[in-house]
Amino acid sequence: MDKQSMIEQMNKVRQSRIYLDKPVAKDDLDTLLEVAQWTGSARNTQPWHFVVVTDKETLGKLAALRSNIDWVANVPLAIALVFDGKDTVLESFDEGRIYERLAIGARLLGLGAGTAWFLGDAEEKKAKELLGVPQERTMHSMVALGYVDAGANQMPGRNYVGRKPLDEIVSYDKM
Amino acid sequence: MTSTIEEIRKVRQSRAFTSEPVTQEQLRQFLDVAQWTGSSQNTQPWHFIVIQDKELLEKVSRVRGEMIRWAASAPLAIALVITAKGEISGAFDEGRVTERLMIAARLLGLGAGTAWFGNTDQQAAAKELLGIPTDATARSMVVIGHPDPAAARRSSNGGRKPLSELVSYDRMG
Repeated sequence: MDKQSMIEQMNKVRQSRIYLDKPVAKDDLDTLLEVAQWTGSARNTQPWHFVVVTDKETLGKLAALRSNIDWVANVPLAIALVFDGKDTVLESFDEGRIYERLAIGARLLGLGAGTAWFLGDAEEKKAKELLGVPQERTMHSMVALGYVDAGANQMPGRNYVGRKPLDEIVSYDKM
Repeated sequence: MTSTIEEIRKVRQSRAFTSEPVTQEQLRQFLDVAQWTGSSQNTQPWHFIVIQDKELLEKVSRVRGEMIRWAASAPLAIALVITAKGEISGAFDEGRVTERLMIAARLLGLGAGTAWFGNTDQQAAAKELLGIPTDATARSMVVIGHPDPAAARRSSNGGRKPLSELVSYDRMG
C-alpha cells in the first residue's frame, strides 16, 4: 500500500462495536502489540501495561459493568490499558496515542477496533479486580479488536533508545 | 510485520527541522487527518490553531524556558485547544489527534513532535500569544517540518464539524 493510500485509510478509522465470531490471528495480535509498545511517551517513561483478554467469561463480566459497554461481551479480544497512576493528564494523553495507533494499525490489517471505558471509581475498581490489576494502578479503558461485521450497525532526561520488552508489559487474561 | 504497519511503529518525535517549508497541500492533509479523529460521542472537543508565522512560533517556543525552544526551527505548528468537559477524556482525545498528526507526518515524508507549554503560567503565556481564552485548555502543540538529518543522526460516523469552524490561522477567531 502506498503512503497516500495509508493516509486515506487513517481517515476511515471508525469505532467498531460489532464483530464476527472469528479469532484475531496471533501474528496480527503480536504486530499490534508491537505497535502499542513503540508508542512515544513523556521522557520515554512508558507508564503502561497491556492486559490482553480473550477469555469469554471475563469479557462477559467486563461487559456487564455498564450497559454502554455490553457489546464487549461479543468481541474476540480486548486489550485493557493499565497505567502507573502518577499523572492523570499525561497518562490519558498517552492512552489516546496508544489507542489511535492500535485503531489505525487494526484497519491496515483488515481489522476493526473500538474503545470501551470504565467510568467512575466503582466501575474501574471492579474491572481491575476482574483482571488482577493492582488497585493503585489506573485502568480507564480497553481496546476491542476483531473482524468487523460489515453488515451490522456499529452505532448502537531523554532516552529514546529501546522499549521495555513485551514480556514485561503484556499479560494474557490476567495481569 | 508488514511494511505498511512498520511505518506506524517507526513514528518518532522530531525536534530539529530544516528550513524547508511545509506545503499548503501538506497542511491541508494534516488538517483532514486531525478533523477525522474520533472522539468521545463524536463531540470533537477541539480547535486547532495553525502557526506558520515564524516570529509567533519563536515567541511561543519561549514560554517554557529552554524546554521547547526546538519548536522555533519548524515551519509549522498546530496548537491544540481542548474543549472537552472531562479532564481524562479531553487528554485522551488530545493524544489521539497528536498521534494521527505524527503518523501523517511520517507518511508525508516529514517529521513531527509534541511540545508542551508547561505549567499553568506558561500555558497562560502561550494562550495569550495565540489568542486563546484564558479558561480554555491549551497545553500542547504538534510541531511539523522536514527533520534535520544531522540531528537525526545524533540521536461517526455522523460527519464532522467543517474546517472553517475548527481551524484558525495564527490567532484564534
